Amino acid sequence: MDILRWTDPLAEGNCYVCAEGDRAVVIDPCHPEGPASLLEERGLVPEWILLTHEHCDHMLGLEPLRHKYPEAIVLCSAPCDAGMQNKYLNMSAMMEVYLTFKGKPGAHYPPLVCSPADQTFAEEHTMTWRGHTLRLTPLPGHTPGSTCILLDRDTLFTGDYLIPGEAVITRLPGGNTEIYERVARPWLSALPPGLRICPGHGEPYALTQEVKDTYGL
Amino acid sequence: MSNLEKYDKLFLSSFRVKPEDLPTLTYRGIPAWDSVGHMEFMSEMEETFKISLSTLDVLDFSSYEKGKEILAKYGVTL
Repeated sequence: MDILRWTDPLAEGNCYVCAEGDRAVVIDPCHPEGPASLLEERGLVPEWILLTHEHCDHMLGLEPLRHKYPEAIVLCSAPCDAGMQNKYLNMSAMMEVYLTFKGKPGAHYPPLVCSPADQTFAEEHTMTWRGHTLRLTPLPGHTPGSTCILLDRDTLFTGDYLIPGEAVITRLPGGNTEIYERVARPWLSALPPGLRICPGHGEPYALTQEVKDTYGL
Repeated sequence: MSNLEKYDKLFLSSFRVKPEDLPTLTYRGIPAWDSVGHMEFMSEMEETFKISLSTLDVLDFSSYEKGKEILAKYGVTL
């Protein structure tokens, strides 16, 4: 399997494309054109679109991708599904403010909401796709719908957890520090060193105990 | 509940401050009112008063008193 990455130059979110033959699973379509152009360049057809959480910088390209590939199935946690349909919970209402705080004033980023997902899950969900296993684990804390996606036991798509050099943020709308400490943090603490981490922002890396220590895991 | 009471309640619950702190409360004047806290606070402000603040007004919302001036532009009298 090839794992491709496309990064939005504005919000710096990563979209990952897991490709097997000419078919693909898209994780976090973060831009209206970028992920679709990557698929087109590689001659890939997405069969699934998965979301790590409901924030707009991870799903801004969801509706355009659905329009272009209507057969693709959108799958996310139930709280992620609810959140992406709410401009406050998906952060798009404050995205221009957020980008200004990040040193990118003047960006045009209008509030948006998405249509409901095709499939949702409330508990850990495992799916098999073209000989690969994807395990989606709900890990609320950063947002109610936050999810980590484990591919074949060796690659973990973490969304806004384990971002290089950044502490976990639990104070944005819907975030909850207590739930993060009780649910997400123990799960992340148990991750084995050596795992390939594909974060929602920044470069992929190999998990080490040193890295875990920096997150207090 | 009056608009002023709703306004004050938002500050009190968001930033865990005392009523006597409100008149001098400013953005970045307390740890809880930082950039992250500001975004959640402004989202709650919009939902409470059923308004949609412009990005410039969100960025200009720099104190308890300044916020009153901004809300007045949206027809929210305190």
